[in-house]
Amino acid sequence: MKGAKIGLLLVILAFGSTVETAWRIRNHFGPGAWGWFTGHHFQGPSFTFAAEQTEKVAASTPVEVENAFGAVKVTQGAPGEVRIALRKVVYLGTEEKARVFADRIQIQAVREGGALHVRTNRNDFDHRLSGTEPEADFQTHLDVLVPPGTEVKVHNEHGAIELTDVARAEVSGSFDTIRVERVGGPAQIEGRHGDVQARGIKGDLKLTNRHGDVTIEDVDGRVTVDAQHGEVSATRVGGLLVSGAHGDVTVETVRGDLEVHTQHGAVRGTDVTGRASVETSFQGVTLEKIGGDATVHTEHGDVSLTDVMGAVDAQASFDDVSLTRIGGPVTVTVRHGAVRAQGLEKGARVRASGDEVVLDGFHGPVEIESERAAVRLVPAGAISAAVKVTAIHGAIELDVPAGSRLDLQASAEHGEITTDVPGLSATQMSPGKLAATLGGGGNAVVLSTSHGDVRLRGAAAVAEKTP
Amino acid sequence: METMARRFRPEVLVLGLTLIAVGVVWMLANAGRVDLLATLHAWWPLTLVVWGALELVGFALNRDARRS
Repeated sequence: MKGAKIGLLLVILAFGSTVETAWRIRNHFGPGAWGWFTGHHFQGPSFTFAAEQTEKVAASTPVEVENAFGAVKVTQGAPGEVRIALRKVVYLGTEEKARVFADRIQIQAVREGGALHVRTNRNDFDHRLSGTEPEADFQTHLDVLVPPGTEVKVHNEHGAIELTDVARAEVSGSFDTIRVERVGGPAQIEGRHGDVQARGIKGDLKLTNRHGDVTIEDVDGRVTVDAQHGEVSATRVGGLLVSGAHGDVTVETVRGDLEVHTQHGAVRGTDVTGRASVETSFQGVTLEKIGGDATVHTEHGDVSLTDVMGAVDAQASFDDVSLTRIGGPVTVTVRHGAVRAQGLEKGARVRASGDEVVLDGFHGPVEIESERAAVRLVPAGAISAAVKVTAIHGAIELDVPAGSRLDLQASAEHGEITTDVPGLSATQMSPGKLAATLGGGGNAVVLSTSHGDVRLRGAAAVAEKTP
Repeated sequence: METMARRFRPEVLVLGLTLIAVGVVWMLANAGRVDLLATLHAWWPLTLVVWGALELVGFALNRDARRS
């Protein structure tokens, strides 16, 4: 065996021995010793120590809390004072060493710019911040009691935040849950890599989050959410604007307008008193009980709208649009999908391709352009407005209830026209074309298709089929 | 010279592959994808296995070369 091989073998065995040794002793040392190598922190034996401090403050003095690597909890306490409790968790091998280290970590309550700043001197010892050799890993958990009606600002990295019963809240945090509840005024929340929960906000709420779910409940003011890579759930809010991507949006009870701009996320909304405007992609949109207009645009997803009081403008592709009980005029554009509607009160303009168009029980004018799609129209009562259908590669079928007054122009290129409408009086007839009047005329009904049939079904045929 | 240049040397291949593997694992650990120590601990003996296999391949190749 050559020297080079022997040398390489020794190097590999030395490397392996080092790895094996490190592996065996990794659990016998604190993360201060091995955290840099393993990437893990806050492991091994730990000891907890406490400290307290009380600061007298004037009424309405804002409080700002700053922390890292530990939880922050702020809630309402007694008037005239801020009580600060610090829990120090030190990861060292023995309690004596941990106590010596913990004694150096202290509460800092500083008055700056009219506000009370609460923090610790952890930056002096945190090797991640100072770049010095790690002495020990440690966590600082702050519990702060503030006077009633205090405006509070919290900034915490790598730790949970819980903020309750304050006058105003401004919160930013990361890598853990943020919970804000019962705020007397507006709230602003910014989170990263953790879930955010906001409940009971009396003012407006502005919330930004990345990589975590967002839950919002009972906000009197308007809510603005910017969320990515997480689901958004909002219940009982006064107006809602959601911008985001890669997460579903679920909304229930909005006392105002709903506006959603997202991508790669489904949107479900129920009980919106104002107008609803939704834009998404690769997922569907479902809206129910909308008090105003509804504007929906999705790509590669379906649209389902039910009980919309105002107008509807829906655009979809590669999936279907379903409309039920729409109070205002409807405009629908669908590519490669069907349109199925029931109970349209003010007519519809539909452009569709790839699947059927069915309007069942409609009032008002109807205009349809379709490609590779059969069209079936069932008016809710006697036809009392214009009906125009232009189809390519699709049949047209129109029910004509009793009492309808219409001027018919029908053409079927490469197809045939059939009708069993009693009283229909033909004025012009040729192969593939029919002009006729019913009830003395009045409403223009133009049915034109190529490569498909046109069929008009009279009241008797309709009654026979639908008893 | 030509014969020496073509000679199969498993240790060079082992050294190269090992350096690549350690570098990739280290990079993935820095990106937070794997635990560096746990991965090295689990897979470092594979270096010996690969080297042994390459030595056998090298032996077979050299034997064929000598016969021809």
